[in-house]
Parts: sequence; C-alpha cells; structure tokens
Amino acid sequence: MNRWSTQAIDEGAERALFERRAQALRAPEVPPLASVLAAADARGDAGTHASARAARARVMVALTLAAACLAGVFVRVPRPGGPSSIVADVDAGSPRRGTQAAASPLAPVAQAETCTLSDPGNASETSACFTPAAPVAQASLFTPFTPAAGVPRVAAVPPAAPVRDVAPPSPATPVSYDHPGDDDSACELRTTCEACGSCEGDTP
Amino acid sequence: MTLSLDEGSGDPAAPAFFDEREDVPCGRSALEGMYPVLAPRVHRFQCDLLGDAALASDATQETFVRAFRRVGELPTGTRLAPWVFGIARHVSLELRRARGRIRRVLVPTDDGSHADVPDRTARSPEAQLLDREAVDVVARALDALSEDRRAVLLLRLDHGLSYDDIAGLMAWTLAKTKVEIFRAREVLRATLEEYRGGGS
Repeated sequence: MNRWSTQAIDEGAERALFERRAQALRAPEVPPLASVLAAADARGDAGTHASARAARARVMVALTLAAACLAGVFVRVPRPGGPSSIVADVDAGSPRRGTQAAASPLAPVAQAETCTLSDPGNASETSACFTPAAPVAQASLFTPFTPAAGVPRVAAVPPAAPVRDVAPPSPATPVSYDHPGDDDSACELRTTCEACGSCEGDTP
Repeated sequence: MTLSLDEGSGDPAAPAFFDEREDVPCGRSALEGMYPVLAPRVHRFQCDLLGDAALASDATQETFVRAFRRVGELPTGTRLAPWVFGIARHVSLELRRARGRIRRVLVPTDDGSHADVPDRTARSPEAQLLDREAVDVVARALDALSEDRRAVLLLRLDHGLSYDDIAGLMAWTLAKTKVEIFRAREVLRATLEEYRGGGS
C-alpha cells in the first residue's frame, strides 16, 4: 500500500471525525429563504441604480480628463506663426558645450553646416565624422526646423593649413586638425568628430 | 475511551455531500432547492472561519444574498456548492477585515457545558462524550491553522469538496491545494495524537 492510498484511508477517518462533530453541533439557525430572496431582490434594484450612477460618474471623469489633455496639447504645441522659443546654443566658450549642443534641437544642424570638406574626394570619410545627434526636443516633432532669425549661419570656409596649436573649437572659427598619415582629411569642428581620436592638437 | 481516527468507515472514496452533475441546472430555482441543505453547511463553515455564531448568521445571509443576485449570470454546468462556498469565503474574509481577527469561542463554560453546545437529546451518553471530544479536537486543530489552511481543510473534510473545486475557489494550483490540505491534515493528526496521548 503506497503512501497516497494510506492517506486516502486516513482522510476517510478524518471525514468521519468531522461528521461526528457536525452531528454534535447544534443545528444552526439559518435565515429563512424568503428573507434572503427579498434581500437579494431589494439589493439587486439598489445595485442597478448604483451601477448606473457609477457609470455616469466614470463617463464624466473620462470626459474631463480628455478635455484636460486636449487643452494641454494646444497650450504646449507652438504655432507656426508665433514667436519661436527655440534658441540656438552657439556659445563656444562654455565648457559644457557638447552637452548643451546635444540637448538643443538646433545643434546638430548647426554643426553640420560648419563642417566643410577639405577635399572633395574625401567626402565620405569627412561626412562620417559628423553624426548628427537626434533632435530631442519635443517641439521638433511638430514643426519643421527653421533657424531662428538671430542665429547666424556659418558659411563654408576654405580648407586651412594644418595647425599645431589649436584653439578651443568654435563654430564661428573652425579649426583644422592633422590626421596622422592623412593630411588631407581635416575636420573643421573638433567636438563632433568621432573618428579623430588620434588627432594631434587634441584639446578638451 | 478516547476519540480515534480509526473509528471512521475508512472509505477513501467517500461520497460527496452534494450530488452535482454537470447537467444539473444552476439557475435560481436550483439554488432555492439546495438552500435547506446548503445553508446549514455554509453557516457552519462561516462559524468555523469567524468563530462567532451570530456573525456567522449574518455572513450566511450575506453569502446567499450575493449568490441569489449572481446565480443568473452563471454559465450552464457550474457546480453550485463550490461556487457558494467560494462566496462564503470571500464574505468571511471581508467580515474579518472589517472587524479584526476574532478568536474562536469554543471554550467550556463554567457549568461544564460547551459554548457550541451539542445536541444531546437523541444520542447516548457515550456518543455524546465522543461528540464532545470530536468538537474539542477539531476546534483545537483549527485554532492551530492559518486562515487559508483552515478553510481548505474544512472544505475538504467537512464539506466534501473535491481538490479541483477547492483549487478553483481558492484560486490556487491543484498541487498547492493538495500540499496545503496535506499540511493541515498533519496538524489535525498531531492534535489528535496529542489528545490521545494526554487522555491515556
């Protein structure tokens, strides 16, 4: 006889114990069926009214929330003809320029505009240096990019001679860097060059 | 003379207390027909869980009020007794949360009688003594169990529900249900052994 069959027999004995106990206990006074049915019917009617009120309340709350969301969207989205609150970050002296440029939606475009090719034949390599960061501002999702009126565009500059002592890079004063073994590939903007890790004149 | 588990019939396939087949209708009329049998059992179940006869009466009424309100929404073939016991357990949990933990009141009174007094009118003195011992042992074992184990032990041994039905109404897996019932039965057996050891 395995363990489970033993348990089954024991369970029968335990059931007998409970049966004996049930016989020993006094028969309980249960509520009459009529009163239970009356209470169920009464509560059913009350529950119907209560559920209708709750449904109306839920609809009102949903409508209020939807209206608030729409109002918030209309307030936040800039109008095409309205004043633009986007200001380009062109502060070259700021030590956190890279972070600020990444945070500004105008920064990648401005950096791309300052990058000029020193050699037309080296276009692919040079363009690979500049990986425009994805715009992070929510406003750029709604309106196409239009440079602000006060932000000057940096014109393309001719290729400069190699410079040893390099000043801190600036979009207004692009600087060329020497690449070991490849003097023709010069990046104009140091801070966004990802392929120039071994450039001479590396400055913070 | 002591109470022993060996006094039972020992039938492993003990008949269920409620003969419910799959094709039995589960509408309001069926529940009304089961009420005379089911209500005392639900009352005893509530009394075991709550430990208060008056509170158990309220819980029984609340259980059947909810059952009669929702019985029309049941799919065909639903077994009524496990479903009603599931409602009863929820009601007892709500009452317990509302009123805090209630201690069982199965304590002997000053005159030697019991708080849950057995019906001694139609039984011999020996049977009455065994009945009283059964009440004491079961009450002691139930006191030593947690809420969930007490419920599953009562549903299995006192009310004859199947493991599947208990697992369904407790929202447990079948394996967990068997384990919990097994642990509860261990406590029951230990309590009975302790009782027999003390009485011999």
